[in-house]
Amino acid sequence: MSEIVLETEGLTKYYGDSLAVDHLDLEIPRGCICGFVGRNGAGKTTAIKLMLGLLEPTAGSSRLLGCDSSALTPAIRQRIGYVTEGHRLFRWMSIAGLEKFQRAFFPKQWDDKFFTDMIEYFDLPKKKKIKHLSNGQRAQVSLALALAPNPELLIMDDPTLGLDAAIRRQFLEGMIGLIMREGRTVLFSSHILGDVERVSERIVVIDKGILRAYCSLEQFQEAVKKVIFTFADSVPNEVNIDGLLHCKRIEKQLELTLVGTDDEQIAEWAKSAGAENHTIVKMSLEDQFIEFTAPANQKRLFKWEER
Amino acid sequence: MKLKIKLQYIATPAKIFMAVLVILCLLSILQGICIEIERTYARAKRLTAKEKPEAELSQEERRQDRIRSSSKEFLADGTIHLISRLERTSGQRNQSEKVQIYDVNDKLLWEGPRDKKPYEYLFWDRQFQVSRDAFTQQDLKRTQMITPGFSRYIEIPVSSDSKIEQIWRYHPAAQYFKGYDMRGETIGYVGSNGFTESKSEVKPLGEFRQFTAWCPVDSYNPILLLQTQKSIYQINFEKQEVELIFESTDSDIRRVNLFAWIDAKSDDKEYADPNKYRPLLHCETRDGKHHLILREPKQQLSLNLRRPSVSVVATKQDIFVRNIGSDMPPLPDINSSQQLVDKWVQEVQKKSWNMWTELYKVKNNGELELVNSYKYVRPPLSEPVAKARDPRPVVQRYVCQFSPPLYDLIIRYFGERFWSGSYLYQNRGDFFYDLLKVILEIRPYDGIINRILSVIMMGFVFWHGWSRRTSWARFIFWLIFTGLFNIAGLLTYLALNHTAVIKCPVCGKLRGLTQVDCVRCQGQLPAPERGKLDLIFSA
Amino acid sequence: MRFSSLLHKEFRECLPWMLLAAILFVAVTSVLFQTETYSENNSYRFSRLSPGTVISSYKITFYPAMSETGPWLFFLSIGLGLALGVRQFWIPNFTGTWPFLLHRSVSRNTILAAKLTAASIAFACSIVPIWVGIYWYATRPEVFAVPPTFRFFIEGWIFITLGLVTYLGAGLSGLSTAKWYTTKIFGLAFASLIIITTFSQRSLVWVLTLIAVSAAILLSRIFDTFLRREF
Repeated sequence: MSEIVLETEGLTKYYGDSLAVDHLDLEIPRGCICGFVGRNGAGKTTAIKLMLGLLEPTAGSSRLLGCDSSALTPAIRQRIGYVTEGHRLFRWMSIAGLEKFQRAFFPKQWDDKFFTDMIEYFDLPKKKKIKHLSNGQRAQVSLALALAPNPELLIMDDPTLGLDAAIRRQFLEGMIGLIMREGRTVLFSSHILGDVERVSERIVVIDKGILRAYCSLEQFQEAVKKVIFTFADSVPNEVNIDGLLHCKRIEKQLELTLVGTDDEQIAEWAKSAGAENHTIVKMSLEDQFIEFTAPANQKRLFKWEER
Repeated sequence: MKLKIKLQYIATPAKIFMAVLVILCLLSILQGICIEIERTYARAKRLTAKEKPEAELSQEERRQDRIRSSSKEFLADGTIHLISRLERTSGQRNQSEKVQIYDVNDKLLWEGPRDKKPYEYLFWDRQFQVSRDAFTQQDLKRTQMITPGFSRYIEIPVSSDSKIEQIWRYHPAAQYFKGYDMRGETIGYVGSNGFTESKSEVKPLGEFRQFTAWCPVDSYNPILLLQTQKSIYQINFEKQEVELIFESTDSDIRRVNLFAWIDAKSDDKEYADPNKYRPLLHCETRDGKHHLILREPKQQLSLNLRRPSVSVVATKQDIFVRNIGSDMPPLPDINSSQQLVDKWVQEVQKKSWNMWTELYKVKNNGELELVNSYKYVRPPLSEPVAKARDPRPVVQRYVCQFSPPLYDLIIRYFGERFWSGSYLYQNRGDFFYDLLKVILEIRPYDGIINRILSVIMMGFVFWHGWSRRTSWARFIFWLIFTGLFNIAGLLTYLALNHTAVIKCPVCGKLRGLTQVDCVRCQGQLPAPERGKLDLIFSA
Repeated sequence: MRFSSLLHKEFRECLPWMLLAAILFVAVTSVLFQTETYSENNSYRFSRLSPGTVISSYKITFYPAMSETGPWLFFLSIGLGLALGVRQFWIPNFTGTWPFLLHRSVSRNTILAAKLTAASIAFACSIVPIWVGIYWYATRPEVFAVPPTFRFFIEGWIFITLGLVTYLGAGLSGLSTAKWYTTKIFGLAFASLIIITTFSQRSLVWVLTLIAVSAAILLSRIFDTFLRREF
């Protein structure tokens, strides 16, 4: 049985009277690469900060590496790497200065060669000050600072925010380097589902503070389907198929988003509904995520779409 | 973690203290602004208001009024004249103002400008402190105040020809003067035992009360007349002489009056013929004794008068004492309550009282011989002014209804004794004195509006805090706090207890979020319903 | 090593303000020493006293020599305190570096202690030695006819401690998560109150006690707020 490195139980956070995280229950085992996704304002950053003890929960609890998040000891923090949202670092420091600063907190763990290799790989001069770096370069420095101490648990809050495709690829490759070390656990939040798809084993989907999905990536991708049914005459008024999430009528076609419905059930319903044929649409993780988290009656962003 | 818990016991009261202090200060400033605006408006209104025509007085009333307001002056032979000012102007006497001189039988003797009067009246000693250039204990305290420019010092220069050669600085804590030459080196000390060269030899002069300094007619260098708690010294820095003029062995010096003592241009010398009067220092101690120190020739007398407010003067022939008295009941003890004082004022105002002015001659054995006296009746005030419970202007009264009721409690407990007692003798630190003055100015005076406001605010705190309470102790504390501090208490409560509330999903009533369970139904925040389509599979 | 690393980082952030305060103070006092009259010229303070006249007290009550340094010392101390408080506790709110700093493998106490220590060192290495130097020089023989007393030295220290109180007040305000128009400025307001109260006092013991108590209050509040605050 794998050890649980991160667990939350009923984790709840209110900002004033608005609910940010609602009874989040998670258990992330050691060695797991977990993508943490959700729409804007879903509560991802709040959840991460609760886990790291930067916020106090309204209710519930969170434990990292066996230690209560609100009382993380220095020894536990040493085993956790954290890449902050926006890669906020001390602007007046140089990369070498930051290295020296960071190293002081990891006297035994710090991998000098690894850090230097990473910085050289990203082609960053050590004497350059943080304020003179671009967003992407700062992200690279952040990652190097977080990975060099060889942390057991790496938590990253939207690490690729604002990065171009090439830099994101480099970043992910750096992360893969860490993943390849045995027993490392990674939890990272991201808006870019392609990145999550690329590296994650498990996925956590949070929507309006509520946990909607926590499963393996394959399970999620297998479960969320979009099927288009074509009818010869009229489209049925009632759709009663298991797992129905969304239903859209387009002339003689019915577009259904289904969760957890297997192919046999789909075929059976198609036959009973009198569909001429049905097609399972191939979806990317991003499409699946959008469908999974879309509200029942989604409004159009632009009025011209309603014509 | 332990530090967090331990700190809570210090930090929470500190937080409340800081918040209430800041809010009270802001409230006081706002109240002060309103009061000042009202005062400025009232002053402007008074200046522009038309004068009310004076009520018609009968002849007898006019006579009594003239007698009451006239100054009673004595000639050297004891004859009493009553001098009335024709033009009733406020402020000090103007030498060219017109006056009328009456005798005791209401006969008009003379009328004309004061400086042309044909009679030479006796001059009287004047209080040291009243003289323009007296440097008092209050002045010393002011110089010692900490300011960005540092505190100041009294420094007496001693020069020869045109160059300063020595500077003598007064050290208030050590109660002596320390002398420096112009190279900054110490040259000596001046204490009660005179000029000494070493610090170990100098004795303190005593607790400072006041001094005056002057340059004699033949010198550019100052002489100091210094009064301490029990002694009076005259210090000549140029000649390095310290003369002990007077020392009281038992009680403190209460008041010092001078006449023609200072060998410099002064009011006394301008109007008194130096050939007719002797320099006089009149010292009254707290045990009621009056001590006279005279010169030309030197003489020292003690008079056991046990009467306050006597004036003394010494001519070349005699020593005279003037006593102004009445049969009014004595003012209540200085430590007694304000209510007793108010009662006394009311009683005095509504009755008529016998008043008298007496002239005594001091015999060689210190006994007093009555030379002459003048008695008259002071009529009651036609409309005794009833002292209002709260005598302050209207705006101030209403604005102060927002002040904490705690101020009234403080005044009730401390004010009567502190304010009328020891503070008048300036024994306390200035901070408490000033603070008490401010509290006196803006106290609510047990006003009914103040009480009603307190109750309303307590009600609001009750309503606001009922759903938010974490413990009964805190809830009750805030209720009492608001009751004691009024609007300042309410604002402090709101500033420090701004927790959000939500509707409890169990009982439907408002509940705070600082506790996990609802304070009303103990229901917990329920977990959201799991959606049928949620994909939650543990690892 | 961790504490020294934090201390080094905090001190480096305080350095520009500390240097600015020190340079300004040195420049101003140099000018004042140049223009302040020396022993044989101290007589300018005493206007010619006339024989046969009573002396007005203003003619014989003086500020000590170098009293012009007082306002500079006071305002520079307050300014330095304000600058350090803002730099350490307000700026990270805008730069967003709190999460990075707080995720160090040290307790929050240690992080806060490093900040406070760095600020104290900044004061101790900038204004304090200059003030001590001024007093030492002013009390040397043949510099001033009437050298400043020890009280003058203590009053200078009071201004420096008021600067520390301002620093603590600014820090507490910076840590507050309230809106600026509510209780956020209470820390600074409290420090201002203490400064105003100080300037109506004459007893050094009472003033130093007042400052010590207010500093203790502010310190306890800063520690409590920092330990409990959400970032």
